[in-house]
Amino acid sequence: MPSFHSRPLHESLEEYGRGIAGGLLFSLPLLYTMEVWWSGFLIESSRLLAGLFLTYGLLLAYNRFAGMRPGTWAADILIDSVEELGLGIVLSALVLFVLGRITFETPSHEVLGKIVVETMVVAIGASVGTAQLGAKQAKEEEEDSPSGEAESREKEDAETQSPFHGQLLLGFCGAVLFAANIAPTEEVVLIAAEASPGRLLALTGLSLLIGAIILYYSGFIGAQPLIRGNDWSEMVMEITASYVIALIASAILLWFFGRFDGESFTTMLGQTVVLGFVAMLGASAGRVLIQ
Amino acid sequence: MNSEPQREQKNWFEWLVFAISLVLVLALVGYLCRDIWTARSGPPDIEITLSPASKRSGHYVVPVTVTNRGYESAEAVHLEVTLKKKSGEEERAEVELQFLPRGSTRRAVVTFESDPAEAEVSARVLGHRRP
Repeated sequence: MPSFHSRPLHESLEEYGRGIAGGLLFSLPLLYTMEVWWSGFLIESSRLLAGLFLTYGLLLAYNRFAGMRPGTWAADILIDSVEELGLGIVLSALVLFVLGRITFETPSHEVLGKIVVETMVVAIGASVGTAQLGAKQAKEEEEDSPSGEAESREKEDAETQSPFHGQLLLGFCGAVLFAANIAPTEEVVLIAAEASPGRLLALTGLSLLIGAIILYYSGFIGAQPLIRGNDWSEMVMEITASYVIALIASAILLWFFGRFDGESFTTMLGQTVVLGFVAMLGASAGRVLIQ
Repeated sequence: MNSEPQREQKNWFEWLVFAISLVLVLALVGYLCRDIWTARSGPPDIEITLSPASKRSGHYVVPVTVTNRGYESAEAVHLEVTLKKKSGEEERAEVELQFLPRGSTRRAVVTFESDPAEAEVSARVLGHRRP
């Protein structure tokens, strides 16, 4: 018999507080980067709109597979994701205003452009913060069994472990969260322009190696229950899939920040591989940490 | 998940936050859509306004106000202000603006040795990059 009751006010305030903390924690580099402010007025509206929808999609995916109440597609997820987007907008606007990046005289397109670009990461950060930064999760309070706490925790992990496509989507969220802080900088273009094919290949190898170490060989916190098996084929599959996700996330972010405009295919590929290293950290370590 | 006996309802504060968020998100999407459908485009249209000069430690400072009335942003806007004295002698000053986003106004100053009040002052954009 389900009993319906309202969540206490202090609990929701705590949730929003964690959302604010998480949003700022993950996006501070972006809020303090010149290229991001510029991209606010350089990116055209259609691209900003696409970015906004992509962010909403990522929020849905995160809240579905890892957020506060994982495992349901209910209206709650749609509502929570809108709230996080709203929190992102307000927080970005506030910080940009305090930093003097938007003023009352700034034209509306520039203001909204800057806010949208910052909101993308602030909102995902808020979602992660709400779910992950809480001192004590409600479900852990309930099952306060004196014996075998580790066992029940492990069992719970196995039960709540998201399916393979869920893991890929979470990997994508992690990759975006990490790579978004690097994607808008000039450094990516510079490294890609100067890198020889051999260097790029080495970077690819390093990305895969880092992924393997984090997911399989370092006893990384929380990684064990998420991977499916230790045999070679599973391992190669898992790492390759993570890297592909990382490269896709890199390419989308680079396109969003206008780094692909007027570039040759070779330069685009180079930039994607350069950013892919960062994204791979997000798709492996980031993915494990945010769920 | 829904089989759990306890299912918490949103309280009024959470509904309020949701309502505000929804309005903000819809307003943002609405603005961007309108901006896309009206499909205004065109190169930067840069307007320069010169204000009266003032004397500061031995030279004359002329405030320059630059506005981009086009629908594209301009990058590295290079301005030249020329002062033409009655004797026919010319004095030039230059200033560069890193960015001039569409619809925005930026302020700068140029300085001259001679008094602009007794000469003819004109300004033009030497060139700029298109991002």
